[in-house]
Amino acid sequence: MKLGKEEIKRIFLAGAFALAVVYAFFNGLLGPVLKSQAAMRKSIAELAPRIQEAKLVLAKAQESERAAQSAKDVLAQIAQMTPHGAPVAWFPPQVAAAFKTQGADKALTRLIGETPEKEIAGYDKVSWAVELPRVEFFSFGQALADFENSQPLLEIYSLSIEANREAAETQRVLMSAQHLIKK
Amino acid sequence: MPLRLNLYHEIERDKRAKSRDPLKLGILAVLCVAAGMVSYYFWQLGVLRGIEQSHRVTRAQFEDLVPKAEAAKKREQEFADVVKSKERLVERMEERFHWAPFLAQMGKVVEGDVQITKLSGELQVAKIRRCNLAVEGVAAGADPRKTAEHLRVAIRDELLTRFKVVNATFRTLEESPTPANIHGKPQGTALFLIQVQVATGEETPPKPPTRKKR
Repeated sequence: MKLGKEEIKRIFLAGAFALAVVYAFFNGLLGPVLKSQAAMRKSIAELAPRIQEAKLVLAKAQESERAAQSAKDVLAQIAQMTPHGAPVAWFPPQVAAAFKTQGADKALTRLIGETPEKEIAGYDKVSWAVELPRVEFFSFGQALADFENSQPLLEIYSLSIEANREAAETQRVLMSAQHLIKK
Repeated sequence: MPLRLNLYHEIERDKRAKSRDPLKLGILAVLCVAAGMVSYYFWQLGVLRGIEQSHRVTRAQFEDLVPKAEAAKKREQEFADVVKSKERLVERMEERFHWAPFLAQMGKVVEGDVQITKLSGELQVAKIRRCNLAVEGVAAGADPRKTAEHLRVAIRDELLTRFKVVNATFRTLEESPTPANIHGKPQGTALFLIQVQVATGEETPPKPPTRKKR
């Protein structure tokens, strides 16, 4: 079969047209779609780890919240151990009552100072000096044990027990203590 | 066998030639390819819609979670402070130094031939609580120095049952000219001052220095 000049020209034109259509299809139609798909896949891939991270932060925060709630309950229980009002109004009578049960008829309690506790938010360190002019060693020991057990926020920093000159069977006690008190 | 004459052979040849026309076949092939391309295009459009939907969901989830996570991060510090305060408070309550058992132990070791005239102690609060105690008194007996030494050892041994680290040393030990009357017999006396140091725990030894490689 022999092709004429006109036919060759038509075939050439048809081929060029087909190529143009294919080019237009890939560049104008399919290309943007594929490009858009790739961009969205990339965006999803970028968001996924950030979402995962946010979920982890939220889970951690929930755990912290549970721990904080339990800590708050403990703090509330501890705060209940402290009576309301100025410490100087209730602490000296507590000391006097605690040692009176074991025969110490007199207890002198002085407030030395009050500073905020830096490590424990909401608490003040209150320093006291306590003098018991006349005690008997063993009953004082018993009273001290009860007193230390009843005051978990109190710590005695110095203690001096000295024999009384006028009555050798009794002793004079000086103590300094620090008390943590809720503001 | 009858003779058959095909008078349409030219017409049929033309018909066959027409059905094998390359132009027609080419047009058919191009149409098939075009139909394939269009279907592929629509299929990809469908895929794109699916990805768009999933992107929208992911973006919405991200926009919902991120502000919540940022707020949670801020609150986490607040929670950590509460937990830290509670831990410090409980630790302080649990680790405080109790003087009453200490005095009970001291009372246990003092025999009838010893009189304690002064007992004073001071607490040093650091990582480990240390208590420095000064025990002043009079020891009596045929050998009052031996009585005082016996007391020092007894104090150390008794306190070692409760504390890991105990040091008990004499600061002073002097014989006194004043005799003491024990069970009706005059006995020699010695004045003593025993320094006692106890620690509620053991310090961790410092790490050995690392050798530099040559």
